[in-house]
Amino acid sequence: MKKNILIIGAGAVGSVVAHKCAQSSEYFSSVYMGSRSIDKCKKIISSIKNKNYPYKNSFNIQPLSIDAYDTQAIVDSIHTHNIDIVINVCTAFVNKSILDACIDTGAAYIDTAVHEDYDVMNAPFPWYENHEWKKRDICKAKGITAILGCGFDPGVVNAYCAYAQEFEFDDINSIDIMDVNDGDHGRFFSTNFDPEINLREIIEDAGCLEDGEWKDYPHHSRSMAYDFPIVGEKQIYLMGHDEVHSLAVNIKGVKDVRFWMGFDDHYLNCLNVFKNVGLLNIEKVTTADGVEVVPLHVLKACLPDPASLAATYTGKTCIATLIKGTKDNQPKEMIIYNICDHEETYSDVDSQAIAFTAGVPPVAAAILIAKGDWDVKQMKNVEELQSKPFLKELDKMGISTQVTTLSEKESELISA
Amino acid sequence: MKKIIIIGAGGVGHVVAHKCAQLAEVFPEILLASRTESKCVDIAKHVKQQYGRTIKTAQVDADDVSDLVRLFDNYKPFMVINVALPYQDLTIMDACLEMGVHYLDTANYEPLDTAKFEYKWQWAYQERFKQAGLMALLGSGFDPGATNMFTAFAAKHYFDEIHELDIIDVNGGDHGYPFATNFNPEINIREVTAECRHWENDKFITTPAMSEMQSFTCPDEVGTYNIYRMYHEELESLTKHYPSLKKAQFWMSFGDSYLKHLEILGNVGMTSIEPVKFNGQDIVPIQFLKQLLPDPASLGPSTHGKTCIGCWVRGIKDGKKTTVYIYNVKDHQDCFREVKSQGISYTTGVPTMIGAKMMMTGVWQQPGVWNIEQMDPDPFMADLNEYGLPFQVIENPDFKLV
Repeated sequence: MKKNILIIGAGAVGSVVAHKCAQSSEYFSSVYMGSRSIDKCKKIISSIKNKNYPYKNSFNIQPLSIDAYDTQAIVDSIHTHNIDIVINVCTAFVNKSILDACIDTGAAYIDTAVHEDYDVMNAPFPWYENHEWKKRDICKAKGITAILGCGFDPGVVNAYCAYAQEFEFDDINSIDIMDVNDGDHGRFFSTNFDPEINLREIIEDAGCLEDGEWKDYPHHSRSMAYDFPIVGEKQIYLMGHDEVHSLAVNIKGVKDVRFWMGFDDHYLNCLNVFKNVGLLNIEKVTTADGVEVVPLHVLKACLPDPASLAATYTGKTCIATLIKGTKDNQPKEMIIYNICDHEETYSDVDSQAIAFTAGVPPVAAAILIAKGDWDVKQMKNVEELQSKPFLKELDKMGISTQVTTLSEKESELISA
Repeated sequence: MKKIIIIGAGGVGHVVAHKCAQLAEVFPEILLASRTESKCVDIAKHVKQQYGRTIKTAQVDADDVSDLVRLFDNYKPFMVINVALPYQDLTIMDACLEMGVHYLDTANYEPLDTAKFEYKWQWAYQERFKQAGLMALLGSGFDPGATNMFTAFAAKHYFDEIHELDIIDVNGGDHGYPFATNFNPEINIREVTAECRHWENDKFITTPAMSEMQSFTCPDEVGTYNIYRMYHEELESLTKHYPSLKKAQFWMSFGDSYLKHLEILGNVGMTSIEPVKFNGQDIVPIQFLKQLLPDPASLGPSTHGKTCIGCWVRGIKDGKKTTVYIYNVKDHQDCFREVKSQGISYTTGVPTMIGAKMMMTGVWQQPGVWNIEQMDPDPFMADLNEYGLPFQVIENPDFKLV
């Protein structure tokens, strides 16, 4: 049966989600593009109309004004429009209010990032247990399908680990998720998604699992060079990231789980300057005119809108998961990765590759809920679900998966 | 008794008020005026504590000639020291003409809407000041000011003819912050983004901003710094008054970190004067940035190190080529101990007081509009030694500069 979808969040990722829903009209009938700013929703819908995707019968997409902090408003919208699945690609500050609305109404829930409290930097470990996992019992009791962290990272990389666990390894010892963007947006400085979320996360402590224990390092204090397929050698830095926590719990026996992101020197110089002058602070300051503003918000207002980068973005992203363990009592190492091209994703859905890789997976998840494969009636992180149908669906939608078993030499990890 | 009005209660106004207050016999009555009178009151309180002298304060809008005339009419000063904004030079000069008040400033007039330093606006007042029997002394800070005097002093005592001049302004101070500006960040930013002009073969040559850089080792172990060629207003008056100059350049030191911060902040739009909107609030990025940065006036206690500003002059004496370097080195902490101010404000404010002293005592008293190098440098130079900015002379220095 075709499903009605409510997308919340009309940023760069929301736009990809909406486009991909429109391309998947065999599974969806009514799609509501919801945001506090209805203008942003309308803009996305007009981009979709220009694409002239061939709709299967009775598909429609409409804008919806919605306040994602307001659980009751979301509950009302779900009832009014008979929503089956809510795809939350809004800021991570609103996960709780949207999840509560789904639990209240029985709608399925999909998000792409762990909940964050606005006032809390360096949220204490264990991250998913702070909010989402507290709702696991009630989801199970009420038969709510809630899929957490289903973007690319977290999301697809979690599925890589599930795939490796099921089909490639007897035991997994270590997981290194490595995310690099070899693209060029042609701007002096820009974040690739919401500057507020992005600049916060990269100056937070880098939490990871090492030798079976949770450890925290200062941001950008550990880095290494890694030679990636296609995009070549990149300098990557240890960061805290949602999936490090869930994989540390859900991949049995794993000792090391780390997340690394690529940054070039220019990006880090800019970041340091912003930090030095206090532009990354989230505490309000009072201006000479007596207006209270958050410095990070002023910086965000000055920086390019990530959605505006797409038209001129060139180059590729590479998000890889390096997995080490044993198979048939032999050591084994493999890298599972995706290469995504900014120009190709723009011609497909008017978006750059970073928004694309984050926005396609939640639609694949919605399709799998519609098909039944992932209609699990409980709360799950992606690595707890069947990986193969997910990877297959992603492949059809423009995200292919490469799997390479590494010889000993190739897999050498140069730690700095 | 000759009375004086100081207009401007920023960092330089603070120093000028203190230095004038130190010389009761020259400046028996002082009034400090500014748009924000509370800033004047704070300075006056500190002067009272330090020297036991009362200086008056007043509110004035220096953009408004009639308001200035009202103030001058009430107080009846002999002269006014203008250490307000360069946009306000002409309104203050107009008020001086109207009320018969002598005038002194430290920076040449700039129209608010075009960032162009030019003396032509003020030079146009020459006849009117002459006819009124009033003196206007232009550019009596450090640079312009002391640097013009160094040049005039060199020309008078060491050369028959001067041919080449390099003014080198090094601030070797460290305020301990990753990034802070010594004065208004907006003006700092304009400084490093403005095209460079230097004098060569009878004309000004324009080159891209910050495109010429070299390393300079200061004397007296101040250190080695990267200095960048840029335009500075004294080049215009010095090349006019010393037509024998074939080449004249101005250099200023900037640290790598300072330039990196400015470049990045400028490129992301944080130094823009165009408002941005966030959640319906209009915010002007440069003003917001100013808010986040340390208040320049607060840098005094934490600033360590020295300034070294001087003129390297080449020319002919008795038919032979000769060179001389005249300079001052000042320790930021010495300035702070003396008047609770960092060295940048101090080195500007002391020559301001000395210029005013020359006029008050009649040592320099000549109707018309004058750049400071048109005055006899000797008494001014003697006072630099006396009042906190002693100069040094190195003959035939071993500089290898472009």
